[in-house]
Amino acid sequence: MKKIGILSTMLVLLVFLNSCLTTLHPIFTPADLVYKPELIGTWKIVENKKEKWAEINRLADADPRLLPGKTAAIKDKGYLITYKDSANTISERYIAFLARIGKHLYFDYYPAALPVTSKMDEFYLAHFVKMHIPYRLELQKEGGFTLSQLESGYMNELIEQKKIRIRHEKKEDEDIVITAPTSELQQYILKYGDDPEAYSGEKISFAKTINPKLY
Amino acid sequence: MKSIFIIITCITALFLTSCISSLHPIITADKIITDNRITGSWSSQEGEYLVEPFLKSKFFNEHKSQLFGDSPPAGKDSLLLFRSYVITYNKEGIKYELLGALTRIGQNLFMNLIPINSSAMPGSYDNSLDPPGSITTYTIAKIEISNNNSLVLHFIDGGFVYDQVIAGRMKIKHEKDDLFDTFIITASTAELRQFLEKYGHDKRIFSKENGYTFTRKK
Repeated sequence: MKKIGILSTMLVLLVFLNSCLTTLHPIFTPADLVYKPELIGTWKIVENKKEKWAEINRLADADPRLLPGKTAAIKDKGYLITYKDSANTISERYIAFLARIGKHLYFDYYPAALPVTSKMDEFYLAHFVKMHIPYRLELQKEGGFTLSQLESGYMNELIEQKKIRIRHEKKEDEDIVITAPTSELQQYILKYGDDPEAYSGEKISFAKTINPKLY
Repeated sequence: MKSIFIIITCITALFLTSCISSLHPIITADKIITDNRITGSWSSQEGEYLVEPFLKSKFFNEHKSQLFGDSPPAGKDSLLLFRSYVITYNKEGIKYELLGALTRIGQNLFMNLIPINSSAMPGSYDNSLDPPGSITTYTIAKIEISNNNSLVLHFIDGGFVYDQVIAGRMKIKHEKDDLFDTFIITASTAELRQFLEKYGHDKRIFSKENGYTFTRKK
């Protein structure tokens, strides 16, 4: 099925799956959660020389239909993060929880339904399983923050070289899907959280702003 | 997986909503078969569908250079792909394409489905509507072909299998997360085939209620 996998890889928008680490299970337990009200607001992001905006709102204020599973019980400690492009179009939306793991703060992003999703065929959508996307968050003195993506290639290499034991599945197309439970994921983060090689590319900077197009 | 089970409970589903998905396929290069009785235009209560052999599909013709360049796949890869079918349907202005492959397990014929793309019409693969931050998985349906003009797809009753697995009455490798209600079958291809060998005739899993009849369009 390698080519079938290749097909889907080529044709499916896997924007976040190409290089950043994604996991089937969350990286946090409710006991790890931290809530920082200063993250609420509109943030300007420059990524690949393109401007976009992220609106971070309280998850408690979100449409309850967006909350999967039992996350309603912890919605007071969650965020709804909506990304918009320069045309003010929603491009991505995530339910996010901030957790302290060791000495660092990590966001756990989980895809939330986009407006277009409600129009889509449910049978087709049933072929997709949402993944968690962990980011290390660093608060800046001037009030902004940065996100660093964990690199999937780094973990995959450790797995291939048998340097770590972490639960995973290797798909027919050789892609690795991390199926480790939260406790194993946290062990990985604790061990490699300070290793710059565990992170991919540039940090994404968030600067608080008012996007005039939104008001 | 409650994400899937929330999806499952929506009534608007095309075929049925209580299908369950697996990370691995049920088909390998040595197990794939073709049956061109499934090709053509079909209609059901849910809409109209086009089933084309991969190599004769509009999808292949439009994207072969993009997908394969000057060197088409060879060996097992090509066998899997070239014996597959592209299933296309439109719904509320969105075009959906899936890749389907057939295999026989015991006396039953099964189809494995995986999404290729969804796009607003007129479609463009640069503007896929497929949900970001997700992985693609397979669904499984048993096919009954009664004659050249009619076929029935029975998808696995995901709700039933979920309940049985959680209750420990059915064993199949899976991952489950309670907080986000994630549930996915992670059994290997061999295990999936054993499961289907064992339960292929089980009407609780492949129930009439989950059967979807398709009639060939004249």
